[in-house]
Amino acid sequence: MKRLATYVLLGIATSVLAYYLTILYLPNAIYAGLSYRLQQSRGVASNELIYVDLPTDTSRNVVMPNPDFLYIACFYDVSECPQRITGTMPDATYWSLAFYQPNTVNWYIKNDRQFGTPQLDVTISKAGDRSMESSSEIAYSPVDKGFMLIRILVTDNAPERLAAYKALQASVRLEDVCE
Amino acid sequence: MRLKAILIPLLIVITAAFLGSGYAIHSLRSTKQEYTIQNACWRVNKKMDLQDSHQRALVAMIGLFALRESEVLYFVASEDSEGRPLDAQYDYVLEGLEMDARYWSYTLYGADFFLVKNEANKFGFNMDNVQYDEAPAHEEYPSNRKKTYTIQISSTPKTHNWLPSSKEGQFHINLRMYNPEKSVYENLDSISLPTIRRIEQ
Repeated sequence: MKRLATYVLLGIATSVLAYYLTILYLPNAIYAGLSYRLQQSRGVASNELIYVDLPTDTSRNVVMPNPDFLYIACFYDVSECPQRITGTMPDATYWSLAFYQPNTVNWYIKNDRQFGTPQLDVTISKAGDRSMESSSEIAYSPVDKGFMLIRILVTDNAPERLAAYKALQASVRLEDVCE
Repeated sequence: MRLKAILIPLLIVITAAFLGSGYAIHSLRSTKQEYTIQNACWRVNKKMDLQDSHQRALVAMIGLFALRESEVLYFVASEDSEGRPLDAQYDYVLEGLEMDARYWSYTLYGADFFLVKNEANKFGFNMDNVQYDEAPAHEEYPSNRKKTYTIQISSTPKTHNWLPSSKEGQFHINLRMYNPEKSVYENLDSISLPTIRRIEQ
């Protein structure tokens, strides 16, 4: 009887623990799964930009993709060097730059109107590295490693317009800015 | 005997861990969260800072890399205006007005929250490519009157604003509002959102 009670308690304690650990770490697990898939299937490295075409039904990496957006994604790593993002963005339609922590919390979002210029120039740096000087805007990351996502709205996907948007997408670069 | 003493607790731990995790995921999907607002058949998160661990887990499952509510409002409909689950074996008509946002769009997702394969390669409509209803004869839309539109959701081709669904299974409609007007935030539970009407066969 005592043994049975022990087993019951063990089962309850384990299931309660599993419940809370799942709630707490599910985002990190999903993020890690995405990172692993992209690194395995496409050989994507840290600080390498991924230029994503307009999503279709074959886009299966991230749920609920917006079919109106060209994306530029990157698993950034600023543990060694800050990273500078530059490029030319559309001057009249929506675009935005967003950064996420591995627990999927969005810690930075800025859109075209807030930038006020189609010239994208932002440096991501570690939160503690306040001594850095840069001509570009500095975004201080609360984590060494995270995710960057640039969204470029394409409401008119006629071939010539889409080509123009893709040329802007391709203009985005990421580079080390180690001193 | 000794093996049994190890195996039984081990089996209990593994089973309980699966049950606990499974229940967590089930409850995330099925429980109405306190940060969610219901407006007709549409649900929207009034706050997307993801400081709440339940919300963070749910958004990671069905809306990974979503933006904060200050940038975008994501309205999701999984049921029609009568409260019945959206089911691809039926046709639906979505009727709505222009939205008070810089950019808005409708996207259809399958039960797995991915885009649905279809022959037209069409996954949604936005404010620029939806065909608006024509103004009544000899009239023009007054500048203060919002234009209306009708979107036909069906697995078979339609001539006007056809949004293809799959042949079967549940689906979801996502209405995105980028940079909405202040009045939208202030009236999330009462702004006029589209109706989704099932066409009885």
